[in-house]
Amino acid sequence: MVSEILQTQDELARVLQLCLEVIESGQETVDSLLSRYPELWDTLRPPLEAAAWLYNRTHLLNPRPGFVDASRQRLVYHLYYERAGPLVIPWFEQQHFFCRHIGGRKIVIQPSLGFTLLILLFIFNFNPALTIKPPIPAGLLTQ
Amino acid sequence: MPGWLEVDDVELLKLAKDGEADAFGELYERYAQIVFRYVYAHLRERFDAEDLTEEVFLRAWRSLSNYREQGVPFQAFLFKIAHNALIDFYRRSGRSGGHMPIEEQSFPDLLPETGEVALINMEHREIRKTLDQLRDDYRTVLVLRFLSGLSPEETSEVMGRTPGAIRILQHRALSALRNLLEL
Repeated sequence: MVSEILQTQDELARVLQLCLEVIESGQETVDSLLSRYPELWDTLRPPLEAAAWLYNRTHLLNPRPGFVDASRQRLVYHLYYERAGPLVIPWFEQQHFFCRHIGGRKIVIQPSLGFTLLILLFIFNFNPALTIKPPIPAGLLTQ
Repeated sequence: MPGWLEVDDVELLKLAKDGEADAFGELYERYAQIVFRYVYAHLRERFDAEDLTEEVFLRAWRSLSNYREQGVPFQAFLFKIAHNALIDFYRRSGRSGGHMPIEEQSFPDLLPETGEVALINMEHREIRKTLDQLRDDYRTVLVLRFLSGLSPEETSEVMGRTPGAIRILQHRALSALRNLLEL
């Protein structure tokens, strides 16, 4: 009877899908399912074992704990920022000239930040207040 | 944002289309994990998968105006964007396709790994190494069905085939995978 049902490939694929749904729902394991239907052993055992191999490895592809929360906040912030239409130069938005993974964290410096730091450095270096010489040399007073 | 939990996807999408970023954030929370798994199953580096997951949602946000609920479900819409984002990633990386030689995949990380992380990374490489030996459509159907957890109907929307064709493809892909495994 069962072998007649399994004549076509489509039927076989359909039965496999039903078995997968039963396993996914936790009602049966691969072994318990096959033990109840020994006539399907040869046909269904290989694909079900492969499916079990994949199911058992799903957790290896999970994101790091906290990634979804953190990136959600980042994304929402970015979307608000984008919607508000800030005054940015597109090249500054897209590029970054420093990008390294340090201690499991990605460190990125965008050109806008680098540019700001450069300006600050320039201002600091040529600040007239810092370059004025003291009007009275301290040495004369202490002699 | 405690109120979002009770709101269904259709309503969230409507709000997101009207420019409600927090509603889109809730959609991100619901689908980020399965998109991440899909992307990470194709990539070597976890960091790249994280960046690409965010990029997928950013692209989805920007093309929300083109999305119609009567067309494909939101998940299928997302996975199509993820697929295109992966292709673009390969192009940017100077690779022609998803199959990167195994020798290139195994260069060491910059920092020493802890035991647990090293084990997870090793097992992740094992999955990729195994899946990379399969045909592209076999690999895609297995990743979508078993790693991202999509139903055959949802998978059929992403891959542009009928649910019946997806069931047959799934059967063949699982049999091909079983031949590769040493169980």
